[in-house]
Amino acid sequence: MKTLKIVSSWSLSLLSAVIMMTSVVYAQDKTPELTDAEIASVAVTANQIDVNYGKIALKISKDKEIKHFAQTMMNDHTNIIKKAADLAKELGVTPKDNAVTQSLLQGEKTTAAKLNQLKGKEFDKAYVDNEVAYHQAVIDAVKTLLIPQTDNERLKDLLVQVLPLLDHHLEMAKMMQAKFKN
Amino acid sequence: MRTLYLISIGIVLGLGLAISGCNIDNEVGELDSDTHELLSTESATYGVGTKLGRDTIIINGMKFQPEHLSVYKGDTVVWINKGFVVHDVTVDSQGKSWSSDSIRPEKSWMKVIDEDFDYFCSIHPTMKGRVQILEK
Repeated sequence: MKTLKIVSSWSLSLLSAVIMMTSVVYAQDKTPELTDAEIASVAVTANQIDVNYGKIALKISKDKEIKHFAQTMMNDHTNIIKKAADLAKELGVTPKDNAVTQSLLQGEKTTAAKLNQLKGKEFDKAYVDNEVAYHQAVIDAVKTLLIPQTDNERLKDLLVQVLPLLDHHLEMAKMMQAKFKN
Repeated sequence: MRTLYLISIGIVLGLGLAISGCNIDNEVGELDSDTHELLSTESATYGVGTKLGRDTIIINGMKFQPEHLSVYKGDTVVWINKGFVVHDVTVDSQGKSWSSDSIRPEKSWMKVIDEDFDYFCSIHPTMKGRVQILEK
């Protein structure tokens, strides 16, 4: 089924990114593999991707609730990007592209291609299912990968502060998912 | 011709600034002129917390802090958004219906309290709070 394919391909690519990074970390057994510049890049990219999914939803969905949810996602994630970008600038940290960022972007490409092919209720369900999977994956990545490896205290603090917002998004997405179950 | 063009741009810019100034006022708060008097005469005696009979709720970490606030009738409560994203203060229950509308990060909104109410953020509905009147 289409929805299952989107969710699993997305989870698979993020999972493989996490596994790859984790195995590199364990192999090294010393200092973290992601620099703050790379973490900043991951943080900004991860937020931008959800903004982009929101844009697709606003374009395709006819459902008022989905559109409202998508707009909230876009507004919130844009605000987080601004906060992260402002802090990075202040700290003199230039976001640096890396393997995790690339993996996120690859996942986005695959998922967006599939979402763009759908319409109506099928789209709505796929969008919401993806929002649940995506937010869960990002929360896990922030907790297990990004926060532990951040050197700068203020950048780390930002990531810690973002978690309640991501948790809330996940909660909202799950509520939507229950409504669009059929 | 060129002078006229420059003047009209100046007028538009001036208007734009004036209008955006008005918006900022609305976000900072609606304060009744009657209440101004209340604040100055009763501030020393009443109010739980700050001198001005004003109590503060911080919006941060997807929470209203404190979640439950007790004030005296006529006190002013200020909500300050210390979070990353836009929030609001909305009431839609027990026959009451009003909203602060968008409170942007670093902005605040205030209200004079004359009754108990349960409220939430309409953008992030799991964020909830309560304001209650203390008996004197």
